[in-house]
Amino acid sequence: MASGATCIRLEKNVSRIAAAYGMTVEMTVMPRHIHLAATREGEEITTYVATVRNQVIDYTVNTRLSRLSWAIADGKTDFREAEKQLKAIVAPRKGNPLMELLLVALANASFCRLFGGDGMAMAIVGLATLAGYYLKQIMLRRKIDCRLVFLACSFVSTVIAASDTLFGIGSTPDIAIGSSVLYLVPGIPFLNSFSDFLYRRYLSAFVRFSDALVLTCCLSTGLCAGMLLMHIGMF
Amino acid sequence: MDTPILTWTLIIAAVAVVFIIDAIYKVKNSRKEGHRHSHIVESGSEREMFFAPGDARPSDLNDYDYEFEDL
Repeated sequence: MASGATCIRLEKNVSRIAAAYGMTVEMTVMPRHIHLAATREGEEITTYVATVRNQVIDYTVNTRLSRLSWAIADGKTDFREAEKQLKAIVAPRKGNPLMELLLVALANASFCRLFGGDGMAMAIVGLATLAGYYLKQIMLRRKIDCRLVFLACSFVSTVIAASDTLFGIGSTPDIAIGSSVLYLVPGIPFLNSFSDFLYRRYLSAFVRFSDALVLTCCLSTGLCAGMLLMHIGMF
Repeated sequence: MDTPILTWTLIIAAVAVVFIIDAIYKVKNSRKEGHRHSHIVESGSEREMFFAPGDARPSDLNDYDYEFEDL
């Protein structure tokens, strides 16, 4: 859940693993907890409650867990080996923050180009993203509330992107400002909420949607505050 | 000085100060923990990101196993 998996993916993987060991599971997926009841025919029911961890979305973890569940279902991994692999997969991994920073800035500059920005707008958006994303990394490392992080980072990125308008550089200043905060948009929580909605997991869907909506509001507040202070018209 | 220029200058200065302090803090911490070699570029496999049921596991793959060896 914490790595960005949808409810249906979680339920399918767990059911597959349980079936491989001759068990059936019933899961209740709550926004912050998962209730699990496992049983084998003729035996007592065992229940377990787990807390959903607050961590970075990582699709590599989801892919590895899916692969592990299939390996268990196909009988290619025994229980002890599977347990070892599971611990290795979910162990916290240290990524490369510098590479992440550079790639996010490049991606956002590319978005600016996609929306019709010129070279100067791309450069300014790249710089604004570098500054905003680095600030995000610093603030999240210090465990600052992510809503405040989104607000601060969108404000900083907007002010830096407004250099285009302020100094009359380039010919597409409005595109630079509009695309400077795209790196903060919570796309995966929105997509996952729609997926949960389609599979009738309404509780998770509404919670994920609300989380994403709150973050989007914080992003918009920072953007609007930056535009107001830089005297950039919105309408 | 009008508001936009003042705001822009203040934000740039504040962000620069935060970055410099964080960089100093990181350098001090890395000295305490010992120098760690981090790779700027790493190579990976697309199998880490994409998996479809039925894909061969990395341990089952043999780069030298040609299907058409008998031809």
